[in-house]
Amino acid sequence: MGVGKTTGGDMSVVVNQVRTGVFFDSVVLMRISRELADFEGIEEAALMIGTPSNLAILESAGLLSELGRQAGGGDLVLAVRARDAATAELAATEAERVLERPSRTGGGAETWQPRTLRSACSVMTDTNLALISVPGDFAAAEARKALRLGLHVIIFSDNVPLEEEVALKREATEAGLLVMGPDCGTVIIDGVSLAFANQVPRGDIGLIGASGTGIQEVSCLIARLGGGVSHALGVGGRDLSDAVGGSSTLAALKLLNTDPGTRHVVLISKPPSTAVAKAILTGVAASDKTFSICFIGAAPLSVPSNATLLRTLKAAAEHAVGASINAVAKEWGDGSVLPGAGRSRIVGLFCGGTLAAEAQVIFIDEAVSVASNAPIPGVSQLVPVSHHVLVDLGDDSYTRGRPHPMIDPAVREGELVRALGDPTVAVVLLDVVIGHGAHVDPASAIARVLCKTSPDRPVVIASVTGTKRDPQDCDTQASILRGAGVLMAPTNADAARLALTCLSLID
Amino acid sequence: MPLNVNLSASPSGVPGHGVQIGCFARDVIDGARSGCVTAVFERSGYIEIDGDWVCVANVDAGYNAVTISVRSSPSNDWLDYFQVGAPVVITPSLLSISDRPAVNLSPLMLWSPAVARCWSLATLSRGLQALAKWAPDARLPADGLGQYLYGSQAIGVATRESNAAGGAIADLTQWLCGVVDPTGESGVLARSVRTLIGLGPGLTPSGDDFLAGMLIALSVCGAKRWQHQLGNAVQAGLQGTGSVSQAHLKAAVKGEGGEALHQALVALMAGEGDRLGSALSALDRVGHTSGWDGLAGVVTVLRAIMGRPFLVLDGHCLS
Repeated sequence: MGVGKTTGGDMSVVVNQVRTGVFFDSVVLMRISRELADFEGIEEAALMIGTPSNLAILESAGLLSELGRQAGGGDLVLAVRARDAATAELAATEAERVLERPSRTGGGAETWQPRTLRSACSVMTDTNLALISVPGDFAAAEARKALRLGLHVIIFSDNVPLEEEVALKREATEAGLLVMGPDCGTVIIDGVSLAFANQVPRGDIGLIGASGTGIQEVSCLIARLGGGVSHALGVGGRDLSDAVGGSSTLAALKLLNTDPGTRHVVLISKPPSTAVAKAILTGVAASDKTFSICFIGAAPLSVPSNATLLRTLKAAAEHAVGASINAVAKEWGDGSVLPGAGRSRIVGLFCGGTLAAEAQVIFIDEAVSVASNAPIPGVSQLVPVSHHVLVDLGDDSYTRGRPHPMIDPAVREGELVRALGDPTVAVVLLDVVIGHGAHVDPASAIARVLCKTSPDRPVVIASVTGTKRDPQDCDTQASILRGAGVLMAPTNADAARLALTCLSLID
Repeated sequence: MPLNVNLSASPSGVPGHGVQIGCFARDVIDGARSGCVTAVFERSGYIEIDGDWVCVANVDAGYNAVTISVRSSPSNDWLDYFQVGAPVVITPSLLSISDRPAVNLSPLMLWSPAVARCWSLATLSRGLQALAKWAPDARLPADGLGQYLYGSQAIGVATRESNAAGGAIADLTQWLCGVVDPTGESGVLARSVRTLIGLGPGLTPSGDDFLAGMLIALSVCGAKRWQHQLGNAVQAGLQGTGSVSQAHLKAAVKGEGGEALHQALVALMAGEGDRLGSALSALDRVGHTSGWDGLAGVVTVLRAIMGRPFLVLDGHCLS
């Protein structure tokens, strides 16, 4: 590896590293580039193979030193321009650290790491859980291997064929094991957060959810209300479909029912079919625990006496703890932030599918027509001429070939820029989901976009799904957003209500 | 389309069992005795043989002209044998790495991409209309050159790569439309290729994928003269990109690429919307943006054919 440094005419410092014979997929290179660019004091950063075309781009961006100019197509060039040498070196060192993580490409793989589930179990004999995060085409095969090793399974992967999910869950049921997923984004077991999850206190409330961000919002609100979580078990978005029949939800119900540390259970899902709802509610009725059930957007249905049906995630959390967030939109009321004349639309851009669904519930309850790419019953499908829109940017149609917007805020940036520049948009509604696995600073990513927009932009309203103990700290995130002129609501449901209030004021 | 593969153990006890081989890969290993492992990824590895790189990949990664597709036994991951720098020995029936049998090569079927058996300007027009339904702006990746799927004006937020590529893509479009003479003093074809080749951060840079898409579309549509001109320009510029991408471009010059791109191309030509939908889903899974970059190159050619059908007068299917 070579390292070169140049001082620019404006006193910026350019540092290049050139590595030969190392290969990374472009998604890895772009992610590292963006992480480096977010470093304080870094003006620009890029990580590319050293082809002439790429060197021309780096040269025009003022990112090349003499060393970088000598790179070839078989070289990987790290180029950083920073305000001072120390910052540039720090970023280069961080890139070096990330690039040298043990991998199959060789180099630096000094520490033995198991490559198969079987070899992992052979050295960790008390293992009882496997987390599968591989491309969807491979996930079912790996999950099956885990089940046959007697392990419970979390399948983080999506794009697993439905018939594979049905078969896996049938096999798990026969073996007395739990399959969480596929597309299971959030799990907390005995206080340990896995995948996308928040740092919430231990407590006596168990969660079962066919929704990652739904579990995150409820667990965070429980924490804010002074409660705590025993276990949070994601079951995958299709578990309550007719085909799967709620297999994992029923298994999770049984597990939590036998858990002495769980007093109360919150059940979160999109509306199940009548047959599946009946099976789930039969399981609920047979349980010794009490339940808060939130089938987001479902029509009213009869529930057992040990359960209460709630309309929103916020209501479910409040019912589970027995306390009220007492959310009033006190941030609202400053007429100076009213959107300009001629603006009449609300555009919601959500990272969390269930948060988008919860906002739809609020709109339905307020009798306001809205469209979505992931509509709940009573909401119309998004079309180009839709008026109010609530978009789930985590939907497959947006995330194929790129990271989820919770990981890479750039996925939302294009839509946000478009909405902010649309003269018909009165309110832009956002969720900000933090915690383990999420982007290190999503609020700043939003703030950077907002600071480039004109003052007469739409009103921007947001809420943060997270806790103070999360790596990003929900208060810090809210403070950054307030500083960028965002109206903050205490919960996602309140943010949606606040958007409607804002609209009614300009009406 | 995901492949349902029966993971039965290789009869000889060799951990990997080769099932299909692409035309380019076959030509490279044909008669070769030895090589070297040059790169290893999660689902694939590359070996260098006499200066050419061949991909050895899990069968679920999809077939490709440069690839030997391998089915693994359940207990033995053949990729564990791949270590960068390890010597490779090839016999007609076996690929060994560091003296250990890794992939059984017998029998190995030659993979051929899908062909459009019957197509016309009407079916092509229908296919391009269906593209707007199956690939709305919101589905296109923010990175790469998929932004040029609907013409030489990029959609969405500009990136370094899309900015750098814009002029070259516009010039190539004009070349296809006959506005510029590729052999003239302007050297527009060579200049455009030089701009695009190697443009982008990863293993197969977006610019290379775009050019490969164009070459494959020109070949499959039967626009031999244009395929020959662009192929020559790409051949001349190959040193401008990395070794992995060189292999894919060499195959594209001969008119072959990855299974998903060929499926999408044929669905577009035949105007089969549903088939296009499933082809695009498969294309989504090709690299970070590679599938969409290649499709943008394909569609650039197909749009030109719509406006200038005599491009493919030597193609035997166009009615």
